[in-house]
Amino acid sequence: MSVNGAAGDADSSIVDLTGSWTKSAGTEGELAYPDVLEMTMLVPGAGRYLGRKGRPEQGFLLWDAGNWRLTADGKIEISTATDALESWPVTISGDEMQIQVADCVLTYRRTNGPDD
Amino acid sequence: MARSSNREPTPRNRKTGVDRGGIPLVTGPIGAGAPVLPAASAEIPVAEPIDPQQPLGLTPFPDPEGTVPQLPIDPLNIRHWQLEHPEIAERYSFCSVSLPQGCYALTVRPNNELAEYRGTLRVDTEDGPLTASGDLYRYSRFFGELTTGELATTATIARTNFAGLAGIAGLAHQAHSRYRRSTIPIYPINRYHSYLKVTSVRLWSFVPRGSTCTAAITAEQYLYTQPPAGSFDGTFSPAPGFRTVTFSLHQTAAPKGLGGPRLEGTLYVGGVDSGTVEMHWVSKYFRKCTIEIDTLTGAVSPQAVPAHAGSRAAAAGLANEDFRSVFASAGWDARIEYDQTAVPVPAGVNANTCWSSADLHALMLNIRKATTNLDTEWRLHCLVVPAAMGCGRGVMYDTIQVPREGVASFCNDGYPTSQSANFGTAANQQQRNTPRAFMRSCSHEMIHGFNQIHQEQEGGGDNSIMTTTPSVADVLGGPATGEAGVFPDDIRLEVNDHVRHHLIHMPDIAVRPGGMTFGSGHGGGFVPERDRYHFPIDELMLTVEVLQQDVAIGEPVRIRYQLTNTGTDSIPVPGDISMEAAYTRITVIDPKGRSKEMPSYVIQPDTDGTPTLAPGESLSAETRVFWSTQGFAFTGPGTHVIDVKVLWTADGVPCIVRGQASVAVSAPISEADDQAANILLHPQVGQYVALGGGATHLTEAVSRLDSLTGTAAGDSNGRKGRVKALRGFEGLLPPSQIELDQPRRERVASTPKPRAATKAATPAGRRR
Repeated sequence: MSVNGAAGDADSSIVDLTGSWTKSAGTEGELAYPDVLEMTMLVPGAGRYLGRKGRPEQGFLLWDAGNWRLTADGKIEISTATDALESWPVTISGDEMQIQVADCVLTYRRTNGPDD
Repeated sequence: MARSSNREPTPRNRKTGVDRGGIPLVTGPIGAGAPVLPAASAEIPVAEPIDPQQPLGLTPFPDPEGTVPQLPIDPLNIRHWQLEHPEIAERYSFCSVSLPQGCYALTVRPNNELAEYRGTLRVDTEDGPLTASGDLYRYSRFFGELTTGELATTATIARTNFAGLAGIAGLAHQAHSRYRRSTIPIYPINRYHSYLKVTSVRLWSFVPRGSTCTAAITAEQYLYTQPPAGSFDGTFSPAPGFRTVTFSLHQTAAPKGLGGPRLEGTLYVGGVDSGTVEMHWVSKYFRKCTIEIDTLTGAVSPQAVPAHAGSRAAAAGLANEDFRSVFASAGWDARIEYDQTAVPVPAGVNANTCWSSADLHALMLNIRKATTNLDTEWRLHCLVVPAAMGCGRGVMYDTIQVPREGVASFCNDGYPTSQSANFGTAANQQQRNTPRAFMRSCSHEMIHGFNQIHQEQEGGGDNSIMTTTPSVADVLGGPATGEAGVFPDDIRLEVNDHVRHHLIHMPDIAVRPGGMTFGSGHGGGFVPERDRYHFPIDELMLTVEVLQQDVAIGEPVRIRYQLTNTGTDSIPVPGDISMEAAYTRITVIDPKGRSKEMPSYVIQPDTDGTPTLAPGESLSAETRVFWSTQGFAFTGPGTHVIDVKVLWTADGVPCIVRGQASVAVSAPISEADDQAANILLHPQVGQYVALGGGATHLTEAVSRLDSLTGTAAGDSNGRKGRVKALRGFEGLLPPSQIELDQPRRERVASTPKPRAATKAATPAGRRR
């Protein structure tokens, strides 16, 4: 994982992902992932999320509700709709977060943060 | 009248780049190339609660001979009515058929088909309106193991001596039906044929004295197309199903010792006698399953816990809650098999770390009962392993090959404070030390195995099994916050109403292990009305206007409905609310409170997504309410209510807005009007109207409409007059009739054709 911007070049454990993250771009397959991730942080580098659909054509969400955790190897671990824990490379730069999921790249932009 | 805007849809207010009032802006290469949805997004039908008025419906149906009078009778005042109409009461009587809650073994035998269909019908009356659904599996009427591929061979054999085979088959059916169905039947996955979404149930009859009392169950039948080999997701025919069937049933004596009510009768398709039906009550439960629990060396499995004071189990007098009581809260009869308790750790696996799905799957295949057969049993395997804190408490790991055969639970995982501050005494404890929470999380995985998803996506988190564990803790909160009680002591070991509804009424193939893949049917298709956000009238208002009054029987009723933003904020709404766009549903409620859904005969999906409706803006559409696959809307005199609902999802939230209008339907006042009603109330005329006119291939409809000008009471010189009911056909009449009636053609030409009556892309129904 690379972490830049608002959180500074810092250890992933202190990055606060709290806020509402809206998908701004995605490659093929992105529909299965939430258009909005509502994230809360309970301890440094870990917390919960709620996935939301943003468009009628979005069907079943693979990330529906659960936990997230930033891992030391530069990934974000997310509990999925089946409660499976899956880890994917993540890049966080300021208020933009890019996650490489299988063959799909998802870009989220924070639309409101912990202070909003 | 609310203000309207004439703003047309533009690229800016279509899906991409639109400010959807909270729905995200999508400006990047989302969906570049063909969007690939998970297979699990396919829509599946699910029965919904039937209007509570319907079970009291008194219209005798089917009544092919037309011998029973259609009388306006208040079902709550039958005795009074009988006194007022002694001459009729002397010849007719009321009766009812018993249809207790539970599961019925069902057999449908269409006429002139070599196949018969066996399955179940589930009738649920608990906690509210009746909901019923069924599933059918295809069988040979002659050979029990017929598959689709064998049909031709069987047909060849049968043609040689159909009568003889039919006679033998009849005896076999009798034996099969009467003596083999005392339990909830299970049928092979590859025989799955169709789903029955029951839309009305009539238990009362008004019949000639001495006649058999009948009930009528009407259902939309959704045909299931089996997937190709190696795939697990077939497809259902789109709403409202590939046909509507009605079972006309009468009670018969159940064979001694086989318990519940037994009903037999006739299958009607489109009002035509099309076969026979048998139903036999087999269980108070709706479905049954078996769960095998195998426990790894060093692990412990969840065990029964004392029943919570407010639980269903306690209300039923049970001392404990356990897996069986959890499933019973969904109306399921679960057999729990605690099997192996010291399963060896597989080579190369560290049992005390997080397990991979592949390792869990491999172990499941190695240790589960060798006799496991998903065609004869709804069987789920549950593996309990130690794992470690932070592994997720459990997983429905089995999306590998055959879907949903197994789940796993982690006894050494637990309740880390990184996931909730409200775990209470369970905080940072392992599951093995928190029995009630352990029972909950393991049950959660098991019910995932039956294709149920997290409740945060279906109405919000609550204190029920299918909400994620940390959300349950947060719903309960602390001793002074949240709902009554605390985690883990007050965990509710039951499913909520929504999951219960799904577990009872989703199609077999979407629920049973080995059926459709996880997530199927959860793509946003079905959301119960009660779970939707109901817009108040100071935010969004739906007005319904009936464009003609004092309607004749047989006359299509034109309505205009308008969705108006009455609030101060923009609201994401469907881009098109015409009937064809499928966001709008119309129900007609007759003077006796009987409801009839009027789904569109033509579907033309909305392509505008959910643009926003600014304050003061309106969307409107017109349609003719006359006939649908459910029948005619107005078949008798009196005031009818036209109920219009628009349903959609905005920002992930299912929404609904509703409006109503009344229309008075008058009884025929002339012989011509009476004849016209008889001529017009024909299904082909109904289809003609539903297709927007111009359907000259419907020759019966054209002939009937043409004939009206000849039968209408004009004057004694034989000049054509105009029957009242024709008013509702303006713009639709066949060309032949328009030519014959020049003055009317001029009126037609000046009347815009409602979009809902045609598939042509006209702008009505779009933003105004």
